[in-house]
Amino acid sequence: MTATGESPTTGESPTTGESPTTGESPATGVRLAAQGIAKSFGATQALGGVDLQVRSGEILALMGANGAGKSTLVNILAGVLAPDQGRIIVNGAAFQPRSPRDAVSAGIATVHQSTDRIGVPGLTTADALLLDRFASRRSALFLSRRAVRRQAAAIIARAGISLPLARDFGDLGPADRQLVAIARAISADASVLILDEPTASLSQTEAARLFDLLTGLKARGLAIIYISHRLGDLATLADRAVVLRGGRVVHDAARPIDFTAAVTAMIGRPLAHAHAAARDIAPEVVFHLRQARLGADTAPIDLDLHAGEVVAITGPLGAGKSRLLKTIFGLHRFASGKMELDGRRYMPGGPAQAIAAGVVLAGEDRHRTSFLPADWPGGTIAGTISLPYLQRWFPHGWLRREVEDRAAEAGIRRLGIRASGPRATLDTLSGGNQQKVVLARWQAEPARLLLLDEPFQGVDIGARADIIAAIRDNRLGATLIATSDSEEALEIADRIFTMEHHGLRPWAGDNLLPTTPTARSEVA
Amino acid sequence: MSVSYGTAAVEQHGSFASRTMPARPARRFLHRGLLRTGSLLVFIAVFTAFSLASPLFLTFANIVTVIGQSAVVGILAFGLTSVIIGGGADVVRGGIDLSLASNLGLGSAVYASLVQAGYGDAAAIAATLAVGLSVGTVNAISIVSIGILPLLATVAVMNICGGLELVLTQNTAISVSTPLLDLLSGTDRFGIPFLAYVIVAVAAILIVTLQYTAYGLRLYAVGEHREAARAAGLPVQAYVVSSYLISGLCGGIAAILYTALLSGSTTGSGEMLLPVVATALLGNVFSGRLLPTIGGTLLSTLLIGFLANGFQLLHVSSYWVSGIQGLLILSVVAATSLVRRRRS
Amino acid sequence: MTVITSSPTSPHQGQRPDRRDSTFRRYLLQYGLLIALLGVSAFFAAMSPTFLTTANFASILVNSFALPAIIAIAMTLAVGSGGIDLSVATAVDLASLAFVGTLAAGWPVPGAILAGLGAAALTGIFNGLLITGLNITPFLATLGTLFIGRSVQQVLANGGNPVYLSSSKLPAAVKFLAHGSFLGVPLPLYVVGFIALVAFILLELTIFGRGVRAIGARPQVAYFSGLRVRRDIVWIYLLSAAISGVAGILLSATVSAYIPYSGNAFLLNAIGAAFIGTTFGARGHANIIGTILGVLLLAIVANGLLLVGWNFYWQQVGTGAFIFLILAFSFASKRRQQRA
Repeated sequence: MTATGESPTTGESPTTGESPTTGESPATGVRLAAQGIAKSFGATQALGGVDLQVRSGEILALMGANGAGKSTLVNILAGVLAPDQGRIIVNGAAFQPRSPRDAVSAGIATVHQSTDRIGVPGLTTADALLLDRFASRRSALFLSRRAVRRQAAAIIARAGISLPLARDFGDLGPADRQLVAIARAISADASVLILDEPTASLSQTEAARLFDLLTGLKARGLAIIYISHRLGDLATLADRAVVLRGGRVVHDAARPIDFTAAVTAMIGRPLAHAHAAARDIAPEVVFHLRQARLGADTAPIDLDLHAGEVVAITGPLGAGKSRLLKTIFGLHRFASGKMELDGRRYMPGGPAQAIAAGVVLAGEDRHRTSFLPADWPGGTIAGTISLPYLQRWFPHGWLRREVEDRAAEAGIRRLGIRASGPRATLDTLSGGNQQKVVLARWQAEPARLLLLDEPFQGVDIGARADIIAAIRDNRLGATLIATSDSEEALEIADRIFTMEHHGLRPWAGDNLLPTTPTARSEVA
Repeated sequence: MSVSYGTAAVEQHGSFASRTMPARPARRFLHRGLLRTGSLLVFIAVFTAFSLASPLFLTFANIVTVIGQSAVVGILAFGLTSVIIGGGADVVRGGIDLSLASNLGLGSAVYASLVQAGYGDAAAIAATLAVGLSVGTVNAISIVSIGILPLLATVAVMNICGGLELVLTQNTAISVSTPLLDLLSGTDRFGIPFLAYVIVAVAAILIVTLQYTAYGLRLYAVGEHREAARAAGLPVQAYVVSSYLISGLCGGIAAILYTALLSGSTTGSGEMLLPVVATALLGNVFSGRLLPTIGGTLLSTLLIGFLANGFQLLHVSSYWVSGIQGLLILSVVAATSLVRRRRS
Repeated sequence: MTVITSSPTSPHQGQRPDRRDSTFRRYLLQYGLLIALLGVSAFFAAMSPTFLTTANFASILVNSFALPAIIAIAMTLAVGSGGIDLSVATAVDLASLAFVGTLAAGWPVPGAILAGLGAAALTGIFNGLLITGLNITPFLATLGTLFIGRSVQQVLANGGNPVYLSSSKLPAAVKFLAHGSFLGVPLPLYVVGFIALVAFILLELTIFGRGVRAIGARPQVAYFSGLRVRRDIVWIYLLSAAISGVAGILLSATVSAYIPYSGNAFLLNAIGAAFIGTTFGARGHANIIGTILGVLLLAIVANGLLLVGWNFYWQQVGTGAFIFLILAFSFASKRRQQRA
């Protein structure tokens, strides 16, 4: 489905006509042209034939819901993955990197969402700026601290930013780390800069600073691909928007960009229908949080959750959503304040006590928090579901596989999990089905409070509806969801809050289009 | 060449707490700088206590003797430190070289056998260093090319080296004496043992190589955060290989010194392994960022050397030495892990 | 999307046999250890007439298999929980010391055995507390215990002198334990069998075992799922030490003495066998059967080399090279699978 405006590029192919001579960058040339990119992981097809083009001096917004294929595409362009099919041309030359370093040499620099790998804690910021330069050129055998600092200063001067060069890289915040990556990209003479969710962990001022920098870079002829959920960002920056859904391009529009149409293309149905239907919530308060502070000097939080209710908390990365959930689960302590569960004081010393009390958490990265490796006993659906309840179900100590299997089968039926059986290993399941297993586990025993941290990460669209329905069907206890995606919050929650700097407030429709009345409706 | 998954999660086999529970702030006073200065204070305190307790301790002769006697263990520990630098602070998952003591034993046996067979010092030195490098190469190949875990690979190599040493020596000591060996085991006209010069020289070379060159910086990067280094384009495997080569070479050098010290080769060099491991691991606490460094390892070697020496002079039973070493390791590790968790 | 994880205690974790592989190749890899065992036995049977005799096998089993197997089983428990126990040597020695010491002081045999086990158990609890309380990695914690144990032995045994039990003082029960047999099978083998059975049941069939495996696989997942990780870790190291203590008691019974630091000799073989054992089976993690096969393999190789006349010292090289080859084969083939 294509919107009005510029048609997806077929007109200008850099291989016909004159190829740009090396060293000379045409003012408005196509920097990157990808055709027919396809990639599958086992049974899951992440990308099914994607065409993409970016020009010099252009900011292209790449949009798509979770599981639409954005990350895969970015990883292919960054040289981390190789596509199964398709061609990519960068600056007139075929682009077939065998490593991220090749990708950078070819002119594509990527700033990933995770700022982990940008530098090395323990070394200084200056070292981090020079990290790839050491690798690619023959630098001097002896490297004095002063030489390092001089070269680093030159790099950031060229990029037009300022950074504390002597500080330990590990002490830099995400905003500065990002700047390190961008500065490195510029010093490597990148023609294309890819930014993946860059403002996810930035404050307003840091984001504004980033936008200024990007606008300046754009004026210097850089081609920029900007991946983000935040329509506000995109409205400010983007010259063009491309929407991915189900691994394909479904929308391509140029300025002035109609974001409503883009979002509709993104989720496959008009935004207006994406709200959760209003419903009656029982007045019974299941969970009560009074004057709770996450840190010594953060705002106090008051929250009441009712049986059968679904409450969502949105907010940028690092705002404290995850931390709040983990604290309720017993992984951290509140600096002050108290919690009550069903009217009685609730102070778990750890996850074991929380689970015993009926408070359960499905952690952020399910592979890191809920799943055992496929090869280990317990790396199956049955094993995953039974793990928290082993003592409860088998008080005599003997593990009885039939009991596990029965519980797993019940869960499979209830949630519609597509798997070969209760003993199927987790790596045979798609992301959505995996998340269903997580849900099945915590629904295997009645829970008073279900905490879900980013439950839709890596979940394909197909499973989303099932999961949303399963969550909303839960009438026994309350559900608290942390999600950085406001659209998802709208689809699932009865009430929505926003978390910012470890404090909670009712959500006021942030980060959705300022023009769409439905989006702005108060759902507090 | 395979392309790695960008979002693959490589689990760190760290301390129990770091693997399970999110970091909790430790008590305020325990932070990195304090730990390092604290350790230096311990060093000074030990020195002071011993010098007060025995008049023989703080003499020039005694001090340089201890430094000389620390040469063998120290140089082996330097080799291990290089491997740890390139492999990451988590010794089990990252780099470790348990074959060092056997490497030394084998090298020493080679030296002594060659001399006994009539070859001169030059040939013996060349052969011993070659043996050391070969062991390092075998380690490197098994770990990098074949992909065996460092812990297992170096244990296997250790067994093989140990066996080869036994074959060469038939489990007996070989006494030899050459001008070079006599020189090395002696002192110069100031009374400073030549071995002391050697350990200081080796330390200096390694410190410069690892702290002040691009190579060293890259090796640290590879060890500290392998994925970041790889993402930046560093040929990670080559660096890991080089760290094992350094280690092997250190084994060869230490073998020569050992032979000098004992006027030949003896059995039982394998006993040195654990003290070397302890020394290298203790060294972390003497560096600024709690990283493994050659300087830190040098300090911990000397600390343990002076401890043992002090005990000897004070006629404290040597029974306690091993136990104190153990307690030292444990306290240092516990403290560093507390500090690390506070940072995260 | 596959998440590739690898811990030192399960080197091949996360790598499933590729379905495209032929069934033959898959079985070859999974049961490679067993095949190697049979192959090596066949080889030595062909090379030496004395290899395949009952007397020889009895000798192998009692002398080179029983004690190493017990200690290797102890090591397997620790490795299966995601750690390693270098101080099994200490547990062996301290149990041995306590056993011999109390016997020499006139204690009855059951009491002496309890004393030995108690000493070993203390070592295990010490380890467990270091690991869970002070958050020291198992490698370093047990390394520290090893050092401290050495000192303890030196202090308690006067500088590490052996303690001999004169035959008059040696109760008949002890003699029987070490040298007797029941139904034609030497008693120590019953001990091995019993311990192996208990360890197997514990690891494979109980919820404790499932929990320990989970901790070994992904401690964070175990913790987030409400498993009492600290408590289970302490138990595992307690068990590992206690089982090693049994070996120490048997050892002392066999030689009628306490020989200082004798545990060290078993340490490396135990580690080797436990990790060689991980190559057995479809999964790549520590398991009891694999460990036992590993110990058996090492014992047979050493014995075979001796029988074919290899110099004793060349045997060491041979065994070492053999371990190396097994490890190389195992890791290289799993790596190739991973790349496919």
